[in-house]
Amino acid sequence: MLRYAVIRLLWLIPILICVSLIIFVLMDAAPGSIIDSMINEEMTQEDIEELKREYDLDKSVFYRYGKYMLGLFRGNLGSSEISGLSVFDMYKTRFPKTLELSLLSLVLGTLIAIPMGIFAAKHAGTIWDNLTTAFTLIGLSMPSFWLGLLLLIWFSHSIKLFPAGYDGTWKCYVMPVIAGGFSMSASITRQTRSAILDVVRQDYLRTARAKGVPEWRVTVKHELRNAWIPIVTQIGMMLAMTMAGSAVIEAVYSWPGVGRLMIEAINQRDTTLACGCVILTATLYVVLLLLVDIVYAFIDPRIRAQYSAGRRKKRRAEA
Amino acid sequence: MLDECMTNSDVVLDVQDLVVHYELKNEVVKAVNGISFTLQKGRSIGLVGETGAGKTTTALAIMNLVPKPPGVVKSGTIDVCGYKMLELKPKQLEKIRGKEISMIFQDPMTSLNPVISVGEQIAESVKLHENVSASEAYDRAIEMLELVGIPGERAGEYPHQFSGGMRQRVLIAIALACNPRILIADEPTTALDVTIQAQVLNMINDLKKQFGTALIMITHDLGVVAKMCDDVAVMYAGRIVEKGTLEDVFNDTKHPYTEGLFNSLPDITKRESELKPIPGLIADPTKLPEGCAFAPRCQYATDACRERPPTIHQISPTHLVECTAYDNPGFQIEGWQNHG
Repeated sequence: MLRYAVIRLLWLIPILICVSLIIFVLMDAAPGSIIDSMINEEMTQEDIEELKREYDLDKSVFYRYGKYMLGLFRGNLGSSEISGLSVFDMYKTRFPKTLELSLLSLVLGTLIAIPMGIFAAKHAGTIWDNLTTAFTLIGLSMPSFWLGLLLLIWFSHSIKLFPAGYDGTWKCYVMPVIAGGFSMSASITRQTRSAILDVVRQDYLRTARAKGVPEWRVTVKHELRNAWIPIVTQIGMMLAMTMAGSAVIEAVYSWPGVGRLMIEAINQRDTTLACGCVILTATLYVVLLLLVDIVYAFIDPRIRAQYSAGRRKKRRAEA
Repeated sequence: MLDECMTNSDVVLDVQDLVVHYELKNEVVKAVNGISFTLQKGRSIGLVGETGAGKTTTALAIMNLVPKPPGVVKSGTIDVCGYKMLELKPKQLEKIRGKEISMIFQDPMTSLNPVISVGEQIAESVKLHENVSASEAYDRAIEMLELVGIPGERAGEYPHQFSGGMRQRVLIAIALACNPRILIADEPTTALDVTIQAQVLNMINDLKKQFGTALIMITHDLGVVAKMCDDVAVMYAGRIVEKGTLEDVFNDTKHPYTEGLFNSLPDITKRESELKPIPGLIADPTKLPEGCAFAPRCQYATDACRERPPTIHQISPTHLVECTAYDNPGFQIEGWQNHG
């Protein structure tokens, strides 16, 4: 298992090289540059040239990329070209806010989704199942920024129940958590429904019922434990996606998270900051998905056996 | 109160006029069509018949585990130790299943939960029915495993680490963990190698004697019946066509279908003798005929057989046959080939 984890983490290297290159090229291709906001009317052409030299804008994008990667391989994410602060520190201060938002959304989404998915599977083909399907379709097809804006209009503008942006109180969490949790619950519900449907006709459930296991326990212990893998995968992916910063929701609610940090960096053409955020986010994503894979082994003894079979083979080869 | 069987008589199971249908979208599968039998304490009855005869459905109905939908118990009563199984609420059923009556399923490969250790699966049933702590239940599970010939230290292992025969033993251990009064064994050996079959059957027999359990053995194998059962009920198209003691049915075969079953058995002492299979296919349970369901395949069938439901004849106090041909007092079947 350790070997597997190390290999997965080594894959990060090519992934990070690729994403950072893409960011650099895109930022270069985008109109405007970092110095646009620094130029004022009193500057002469020479001053502007000077500024360009300072930010290496007179050189090719690959020069800047190479310089950046050199720093990266020394473990240095660089510092923001605008504020001069360390990229890692900026990310670190913003990340807890994103983490709070995504964990709360996930808890809300999962608490709705799993019971609802089980309910739909148990009533497959009935009106209840159709209603659930309608709910998930709405959740999946409604853009979260739209739901976010609707909530803003209703609860913040019309009845002034919740603040429109981040103010540090519990109230400001309500709307972004609902907006984020809703679309998450839709996809987890779908996954739960189909995973449960896959196991409901299994013989071992009949064995459990014949033992006198109460129906709720058949569902929770025997069905759900066999249906966990696709559900956990979906949850892991959802968590990874929101942790990466639900940029849209953070923008709608002016949430001080990493998603908005990234948008700000891109708007200001702060390539170092944008690239640093993307690299940290990609790393987080890969690590989270790896954790999901490791969780599999705890859920299913057959997967656990595969890992230990690999170990046994290795031991035999060494002997 | 539930701990003690409420009945004082020796009858632990009484099934009367059981009718079970599967109502699908465009057809109705008439799986069980009026079955009655009783089972006494410590006795064993074999339900014999081809695939599709309604044996498993009967067993599931006794446990009140017929999958609904599409299954519907149309009529009948099932009395397990004084409990009307078909009228009980789920909560009461859960107390009886596994405690008074339990079942060994046909396919050991799929009947165990793959993500729960076998020890835990056995202990679950003990925990549910007996007032014991989790660790006591687990200790009992280990005892049960050893009873069925699996080392107790393997209790923490998972079904995929066991062979088919061992999984069947685990299923037996689960079924017997709470010492039920009735055990239903649904083709417990069909999925196993012949050598393992004998072991498993011997084990069921020993445990049955040890605990005084009544047994319903569902099988299509007449050899298994001969080895395990006191009474035999031969099923065809959801009805019991012949019922009696082992001697009645084996030595004084009356029903043409039973005769056909015996004729389909290979005889290893006469290798040159040809098998005589029953012609045709088992009756389609969605289109059962007006008259006797076996008539289309029966060499003795007359118009009377085809036109009206078969009549029931009591051959002896224990022996019952459902066949119109016996309306004629002189009627006799040819007797099966390998007889005597």
